[in-house]
Amino acid sequence: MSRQLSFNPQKEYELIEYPGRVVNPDRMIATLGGIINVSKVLGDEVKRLALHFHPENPYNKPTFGDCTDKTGVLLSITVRRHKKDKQRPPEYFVRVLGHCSRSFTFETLCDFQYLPLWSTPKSDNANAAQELTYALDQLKPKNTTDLDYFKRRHSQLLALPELFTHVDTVYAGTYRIDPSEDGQHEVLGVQSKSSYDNQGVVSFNMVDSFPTQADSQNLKRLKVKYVSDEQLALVKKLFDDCPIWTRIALQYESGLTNDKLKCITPSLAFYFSNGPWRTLYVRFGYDPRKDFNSRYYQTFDFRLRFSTGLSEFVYAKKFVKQRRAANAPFAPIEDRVSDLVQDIDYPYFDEHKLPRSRQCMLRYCDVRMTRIQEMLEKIPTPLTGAVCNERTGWLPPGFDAQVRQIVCASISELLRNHYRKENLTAEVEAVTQADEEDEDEAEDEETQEEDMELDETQAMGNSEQFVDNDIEQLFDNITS
Amino acid sequence: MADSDSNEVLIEEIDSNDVPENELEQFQETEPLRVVDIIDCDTDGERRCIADDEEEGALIKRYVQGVQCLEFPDFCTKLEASDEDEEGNDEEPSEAAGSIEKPNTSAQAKTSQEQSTGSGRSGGGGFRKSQLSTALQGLMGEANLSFVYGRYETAERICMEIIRQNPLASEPFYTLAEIYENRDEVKFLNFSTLAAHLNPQDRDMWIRVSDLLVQQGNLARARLIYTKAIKMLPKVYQLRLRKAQLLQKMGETNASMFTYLKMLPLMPPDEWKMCLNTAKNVARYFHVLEKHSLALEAMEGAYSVCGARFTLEDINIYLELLILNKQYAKVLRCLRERTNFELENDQEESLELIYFCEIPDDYVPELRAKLCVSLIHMRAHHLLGYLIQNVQEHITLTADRVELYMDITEALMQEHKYAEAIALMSPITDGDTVECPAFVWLRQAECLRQLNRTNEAIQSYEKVVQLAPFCYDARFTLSALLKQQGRHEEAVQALEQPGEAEGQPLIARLLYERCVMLQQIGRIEEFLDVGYALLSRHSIKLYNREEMMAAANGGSAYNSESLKTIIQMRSKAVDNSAEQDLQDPAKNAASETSDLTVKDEFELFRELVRTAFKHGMHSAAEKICFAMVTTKRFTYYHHEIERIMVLTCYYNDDCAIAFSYLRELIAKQPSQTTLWNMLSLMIQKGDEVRYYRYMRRLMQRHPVDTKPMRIFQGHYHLNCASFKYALNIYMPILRENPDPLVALCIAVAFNQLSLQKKVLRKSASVAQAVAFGQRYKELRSAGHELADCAAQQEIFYNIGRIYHQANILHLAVDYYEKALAVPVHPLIAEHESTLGLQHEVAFNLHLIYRANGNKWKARQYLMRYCVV
Repeated sequence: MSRQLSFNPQKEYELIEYPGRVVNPDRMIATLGGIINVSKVLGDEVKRLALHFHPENPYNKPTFGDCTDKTGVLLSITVRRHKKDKQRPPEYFVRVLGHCSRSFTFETLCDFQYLPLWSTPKSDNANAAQELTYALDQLKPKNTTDLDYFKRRHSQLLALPELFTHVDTVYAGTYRIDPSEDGQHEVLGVQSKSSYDNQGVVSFNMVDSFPTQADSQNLKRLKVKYVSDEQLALVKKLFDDCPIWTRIALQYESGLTNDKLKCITPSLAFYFSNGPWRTLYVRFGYDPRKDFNSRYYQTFDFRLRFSTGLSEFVYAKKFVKQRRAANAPFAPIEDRVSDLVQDIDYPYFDEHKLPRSRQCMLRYCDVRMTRIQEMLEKIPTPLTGAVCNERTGWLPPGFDAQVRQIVCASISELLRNHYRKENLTAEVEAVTQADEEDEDEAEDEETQEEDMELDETQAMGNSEQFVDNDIEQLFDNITS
Repeated sequence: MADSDSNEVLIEEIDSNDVPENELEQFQETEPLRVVDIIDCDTDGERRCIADDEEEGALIKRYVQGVQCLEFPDFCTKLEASDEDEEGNDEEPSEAAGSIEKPNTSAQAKTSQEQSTGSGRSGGGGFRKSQLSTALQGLMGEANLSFVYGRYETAERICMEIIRQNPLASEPFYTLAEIYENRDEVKFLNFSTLAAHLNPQDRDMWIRVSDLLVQQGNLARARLIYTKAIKMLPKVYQLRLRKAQLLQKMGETNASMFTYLKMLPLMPPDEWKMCLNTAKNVARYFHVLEKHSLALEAMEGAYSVCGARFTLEDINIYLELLILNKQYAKVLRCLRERTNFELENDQEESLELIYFCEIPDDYVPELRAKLCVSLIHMRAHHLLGYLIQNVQEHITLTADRVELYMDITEALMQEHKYAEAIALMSPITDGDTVECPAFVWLRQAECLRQLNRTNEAIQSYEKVVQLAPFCYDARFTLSALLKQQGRHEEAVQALEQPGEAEGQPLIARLLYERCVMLQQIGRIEEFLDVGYALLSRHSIKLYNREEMMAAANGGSAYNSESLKTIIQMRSKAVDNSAEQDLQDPAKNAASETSDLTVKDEFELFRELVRTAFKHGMHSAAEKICFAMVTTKRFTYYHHEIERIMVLTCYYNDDCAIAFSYLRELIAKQPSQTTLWNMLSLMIQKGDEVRYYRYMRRLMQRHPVDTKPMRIFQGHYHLNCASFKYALNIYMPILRENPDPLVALCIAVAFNQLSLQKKVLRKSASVAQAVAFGQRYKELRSAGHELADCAAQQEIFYNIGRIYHQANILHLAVDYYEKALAVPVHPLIAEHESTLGLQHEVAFNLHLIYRANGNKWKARQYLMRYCVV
């Protein structure tokens, strides 16, 4: 006989399958990084739950638990048996305590381990054997006021990587051995060449000619991706109106998805990787070096400085997209900020709004400020037959600095008015950390990030070739 | 022969004038003197020789000789100036003489002869230096007659002659002064000064000279003149009065008051009104400066002059000063002289022999209070009851009279008569006629404390704190008493400042004591909060993560550039508040009179951080550290604060900020291994520490000692899955200096390479991983037999892990089983909680069985080995 007593569908639990026998719950929680860490991981969609079997050892490497969607019900079953009459069947009382919708399971390998042990000579003899000694007492400071820690003379360096392995799954494939090989090759080699070629990516220079038509491979891909003639004609018309575009502007004006554009764009235009028109798509057959009107389409690279106080409004691009997904339920809060900050997909810069992200790649004609457009108009026409400058294009030197300064002043004024209007204080917590790295190196990195973001596939081609050369050089070093 | 020559000369003069006849008569009179003073003549002869020598020299030398006779060096300058003037006068006769031919020669000869004669007479005049001789008196009369008749030049020349013969006579200087009074002010001033100096008893001349100097604006010299005059005529009070007024005009109030002070006893009784007013002014001045003995001296001076004319108010002031100077016997004497006060004692100065006193009923309350204070201080303790009763009967208790009661109370307290003091105060504290002010409660509380009546003292102190919230001494004492009784909670509450929430300047000392007490009673969170409020009163408050990163930028304690950046960021938000933020620290620092030293605050800081660590409140510790690095106050302790900041942020899992500070330490001492190990500890936390670019820049700056930097670069590439770069860095390091960790990293890199999709020869990569795993095994065992190595279990585990990920499961199981079967090394047994690897081995082994379907055996391994 069984009887259902109650059912409480509202209470939800979180399931963590702990891989072991729990004798001390406090210690179990310590191995998971403490209750605060567990709470953080539960609140984040993509984080993995780290399990350190020895939390006292800072050099102990963890195993990670992944979040999987599982549906479960938590039952409480009470069995009551009759003492005198043992023949009677026992009574079962079933109670549903709650349910869970996901669980954390530990199914991946634990990382490599390296114990904090030092090799120490047994005696003062130079040729004496060495033995391992416990090093953690010296390596770890005792407390926050342990100033003697900095006066100790550590005999050895114990520097472990953050994690030995990022991929912690077992290799699932099989090992193939080519019968024709004798096993003497020292180069690991690449399985197959990449089928993609980067003909569409052009490095800017003043001598060579630019391509005038698309590669046949791109035309074939159009059919494979089911690109319709209307879509192709739409993008083609955009390039007829304006020969140079940014990827975001194309996406915004045409309304097509990124997948479609990835096929259409290479068939109509090539891509500059550097120069005055870097990160822009240029129509086949158009040479911006000879057309003075191409000054409107030169690249304007604008970034917000760290000290502008905008970190609570404008974020790096990846953070904006993350927050968009996370803050969907909190639309009313976003509305207030969206009045001030430009939408992430809007390709132009308006005078009455903050930029869409911390770094923006724009064309000069995308900066919709009357003063800047007038400056562009007033640039004197060069003599017939003149060519543009390799670094600054058709614009005079320092023009980009002036434009950048004007835009910054506009943003400062906009922000000041906003604060006066809203009477806000600067006590809102910032989510992102400051970027304090050197300007040059940061510029290179961010430019590269922008390039990869604009066209991932083309960048992959570059890295693949580079990999080949590096591997060969690598094994030369090993051999010698 | 000389005498005969002199006689001839004189005879010639007699023939030419009528006046010589008179001289001739005088000459006859002096003949007997010459006979008597033959010896003196010899002495005079010597002087005459000296004078003759100087006559041959310059006139200045003669006056210099005359100057040497003076005793005041201050007059040298003036006399030299006068000599110059006189020299100028002498030049004129020479010029006049030069204009005539033959008569000039005879005139010069006569003049020389006259000078010789004068020298002789000068010797004769030496007998009576204080007066002119008869002959010189005649000349003086002639000079005065010439002056009267307007023949100034003649008079001047005669005076100069008299001065030459008798420089110490003042009469010619008087005449010269009168000659120049309306013609040459400078000469008039000089001659007047000389006249006054030579005739010190003439008060009016001193005054005239000083007045003239004051008119000219030469106040300093006038002051000097007055000083000399007072020195000569110390009894003349007018001179002191004038000097004091002059000093007041010069702005030297202190010196003026001292001059008035000296003047008072010298004044005549009929000038009692001025004397009294001056005395009161001087007394008030010194009283304000708390120089009570001088104030009393002033009043005593006036009292000795016109004591009978003192009003009751003046007597009150006098008695007040006497009490302040603890001269109680004089108080009694004065009261007895001026009032009906009766006192019986055998001896005047004896303190213990006062038998009886009767205070009249018509006494003014102020005088009555002062009498009581004096008697109390003279230890007439047997009269205390009578005195207290008398005071309470005759001094009506009103708001104005409370202070009189308190004066007597304080006297009692100073004599340690606390019970009587409490009895005297009880009408104020217990009565309803007046509202009891806070300072009365304070006195009562102190008396009760001295009598060890702690509970009542606590109640009184609570009243003080209630009525006067900013009386911090009372808070201190109240807290101490409550602490004695073990009432720690109330003691902590007593130390709270009412202005904390209202933004008033905080008293650092109270906050400090409150911190100490909160720590003692174990209220750790409040201890940290109050400590933070104390240390951050000069700091800049950081509102968000961005400002924290800006403050930590540069990694040095108190980076002013970063703080300017923060303020700039805020100025964009609100313009006015930025200025307030800038000014607030300065105002607080200026207004605070802190008795806390920087050392005390730093020790408190260390205690706060230590306590926070002990209780696991790491975020509070980091906040306190930021309070230290955003102010200039603790620059002396930069060395300690930087390191404490690194450790605190590390324990708070805030490695980004800890690295900001640690990188500066590494840049200064890149060869110190401890700092690199600290960086390694931070990297283990898994926080986002961006160290790669820093390593590259550091390696360029320090080409030597690059091994730690290269190892960290290799680790960075290993984490970013850039295995080719990692291997490029690891291989040279392994070749230069074989290290088991580097070998293991190389094995791991190959292991991960074999998992990549596009690698063609995966088996070769696995083979390399295994080979370097074996190399790691050799290096890790350090040349020992494997069975004796403490890291044996680790070695087996890592090699098994390589096989496991390569999906060579039979070898992986074999190595995992070996790891579990390893006999426990003594070193491992000693540190089982940190060095044992059974959990890890069992976990990985259970994954193999689970993936291959043997769930029972997988569970068996977990239940047996993975026990927490």
